[in-house]
Amino acid sequence: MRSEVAAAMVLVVAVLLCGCKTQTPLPYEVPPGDIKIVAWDAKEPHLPGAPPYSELATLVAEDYAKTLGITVDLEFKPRQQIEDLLLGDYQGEIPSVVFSTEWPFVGIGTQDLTEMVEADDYLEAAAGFWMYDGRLMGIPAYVHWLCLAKRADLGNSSPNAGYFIYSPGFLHSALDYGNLDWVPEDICTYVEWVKQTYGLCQEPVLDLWEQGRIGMMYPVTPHLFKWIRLSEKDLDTEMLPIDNPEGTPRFYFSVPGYVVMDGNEQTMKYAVELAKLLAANRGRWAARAIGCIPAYVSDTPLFDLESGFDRDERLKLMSSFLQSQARITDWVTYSRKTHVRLGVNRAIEEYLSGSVSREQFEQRIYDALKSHTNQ
Amino acid sequence: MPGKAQSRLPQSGFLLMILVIALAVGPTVKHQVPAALSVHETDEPLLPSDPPVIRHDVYDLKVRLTQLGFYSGPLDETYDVEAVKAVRAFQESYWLEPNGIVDQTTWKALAVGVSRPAHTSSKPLPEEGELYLEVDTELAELRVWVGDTLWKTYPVAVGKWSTLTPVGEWKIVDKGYESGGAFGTRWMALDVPWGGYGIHGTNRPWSIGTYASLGCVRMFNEDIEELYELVPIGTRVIITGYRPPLDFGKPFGPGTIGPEVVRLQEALREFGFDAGPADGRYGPLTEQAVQEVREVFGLGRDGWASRDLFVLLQVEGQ
Repeated sequence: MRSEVAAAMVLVVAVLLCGCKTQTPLPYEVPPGDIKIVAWDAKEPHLPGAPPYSELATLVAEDYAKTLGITVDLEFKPRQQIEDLLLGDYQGEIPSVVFSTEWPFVGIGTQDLTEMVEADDYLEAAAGFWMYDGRLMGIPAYVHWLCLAKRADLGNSSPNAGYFIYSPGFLHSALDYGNLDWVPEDICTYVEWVKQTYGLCQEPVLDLWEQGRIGMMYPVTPHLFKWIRLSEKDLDTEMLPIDNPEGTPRFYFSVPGYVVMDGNEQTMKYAVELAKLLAANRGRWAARAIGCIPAYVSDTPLFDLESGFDRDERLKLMSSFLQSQARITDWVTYSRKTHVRLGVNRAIEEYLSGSVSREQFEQRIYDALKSHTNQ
Repeated sequence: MPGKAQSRLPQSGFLLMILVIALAVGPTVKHQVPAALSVHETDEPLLPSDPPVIRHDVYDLKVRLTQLGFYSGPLDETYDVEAVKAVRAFQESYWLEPNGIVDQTTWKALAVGVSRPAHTSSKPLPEEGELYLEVDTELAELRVWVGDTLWKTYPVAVGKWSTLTPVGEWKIVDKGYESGGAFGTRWMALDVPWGGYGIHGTNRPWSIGTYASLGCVRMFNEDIEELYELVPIGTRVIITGYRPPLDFGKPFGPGTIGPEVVRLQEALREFGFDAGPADGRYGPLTEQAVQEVREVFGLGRDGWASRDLFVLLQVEGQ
C-alpha cells in the first residue's frame, strides 16, 4: 500500500514537472535576491495621435519588474538634471539607467556595455555612434535629426529664414562636422555667413513663420517639425538639410540612447536589460510620434509605416544619417562646446540683431571664449 | 461614595454650560474678513446722495427691484433718483421707513421669498479620496468632489463679465464667520495672487445662478454653512470657465504673476510637462517646464516664456 502511494506521489511530481517544462521560459534570468533598479528618463510632449510617452515607459518598467520580481523605480527628470548627473555635477544617489537626452555624450560613470549588448541588434550607424575608444557606451534608442524647414507654398517669394540662435543646434549643426571648428575665427565666419545669407535675426520666428513672413527656419527638431505639420493647414512644409558656409548642406544627427551607470556585478545585467527595453520603447515612440528612425533594427519598419513621411523623405533622412559619420563625444568635449556656446550666444544675438558692429562682435567672441575656455 | 457622586455633579454641569455657551456663541464669533477680500463687498448702508453713489451692489439692488416690479430702468451700478424712488416704494410696501437708505434691514426684506433650490444629491460623503471643489463659471455651479466621485453640486453666483472670477487652481487659505451681511454667514479666502477672492454667503440670494459678483463666488448661506464644515484650510479649489482677454504680447519669466501665467501652466500640462498647479505664480516648476519644452523643440534652454513658446503652446484663443 505504501509503495502504491509513493508511486502515485512520484507520478504527480513528474506530471507537475512536465507541466512546468511546457511553460514559456522567462526571457531573463531570475535574480537571486532583492534587487532595486533606479532609472532616470525624460518627459516627452503630448502630441496629437501619439500615445503619452511617460505612460508607455512606465508600463515597460512595471512589466519588467513584475516579470523578474524586482523593484524598478522609473523617475522622470528634467533634462538639465540628467546633464548635470552625466557631467558629475549631481549630489545624490546615482541611478542605474539614464536616458542620455537629445544631446548625448559619454558621461562620468558611464559603463562599457560591449560584452552585454549585441550591437548587431541596432542600426550599424546608430550603434557606431555610441562606440567610443572601441567600446559601446550606450544603447541607442533612435536617430534624432535637425533640419531646415521650408514653406513650399510660398515658393521663393519669401527667401528669408528665421533661426533660433539659442538652440544648441544653431552652432552644432555648423561646427560639429566639416571644416569649421569651435574656435573664434570659425564662429565669426559662420555667423557672418548667416547674416549675409538669411539677413538679420527676426523674431518671434514661429509667429513670422505662421504669418508667412519667413519662408524657412532652422534648426528644426523632429518635435518642432511634427508640430509644424500638425498645426499647418494647407502649407506644404519641406524638410531640407541645413546649409553652411562651406556650401555642403547636411542634416545634423545625434542618437539619443540609454546609458548604464551601475557597475555592480550582481545588478548590472538587470540594469542593462531594462535599458534595452526602454531604448526600444523610446525608439518606437519616437518613430510614431515625431518621425525619428528607431535604432533597434527589428523596429525599422515602424519608421516606414508610421513616421508620417513619404518615401522620398524617409530615404533622404535614412541615407543622410548612414553617411553622416555622427559620433558621440566625451564629457570633456561636450562640456567645452557647451561653455563656448553659452559664452558666445549673447554676442551672436547682438550682432545678428544689428546692435553691434563686426569689429565689436569679433572682439566679444574672443573675450567670451577667453573667459570660458582655454582657447 | 454618595459624597463623591455629589462632588462630581457641579463639575459636569459647569462643563455642560461651557459647551452650550460655546455652541451658542461659536457661529457668531467673527474672524475678520481679510482686507483684500473685504474690498469686494461692503455692509455700509447705501445712501441717497447727489451726485449719486456708484457702487457694485447697486446692480444687485436694481435687479431685485426689477424682479419685484418696483424698478424698470437700466441695470447699472448708479444709485440714481429712479433707484431711490423704487427703494422708497419697496420700503413702504414692506412697512419699513421709506427713507431710501438700503441697510441690512432693507437687504433682508429684499431677500424675502428667495428660496434655495433642493440639492442635487443627498448621498453620504465618500470616505476615501481627496476632497476638492470645482467652480464652473459657465454654469455657475460649485461641485464638491471626493476623489473621482462628484458628491454634491451647489448653485453659485460668479463674477460679472467685467470682473470675472479668476480661472485657475487655488487653495483655501483662510476662513471665518460673518453675521449675515454682504459676506453672508461664512467666508473662505482663496490664494489668488493678484487680488482678494473667496467663496462666501450673501445677503443678496437672488443673484445666485447669475454673473453678479466682483469675482468672488457667492453661495446661499445655508449652502456655505454646510460647505464650511466640510472644507479645511488647504483644500484645492479649481475654477474653470470664462477668462478675461489675456496678453501674450510680451515675454515673461520667473516671478511673474497673473492670469497669463495660469494659462501658460495649463498649456504646459496639456503638453505633458508638469508646471505644478495652475496658480498663476511663475515659480521654479513653471520655469523648469518651460526650459524642458523650449529645449525639446529647439528654442533654446532658458526658463523665460517668449512669444515663440506662446505660439508653440497655442495659449491664445482659448
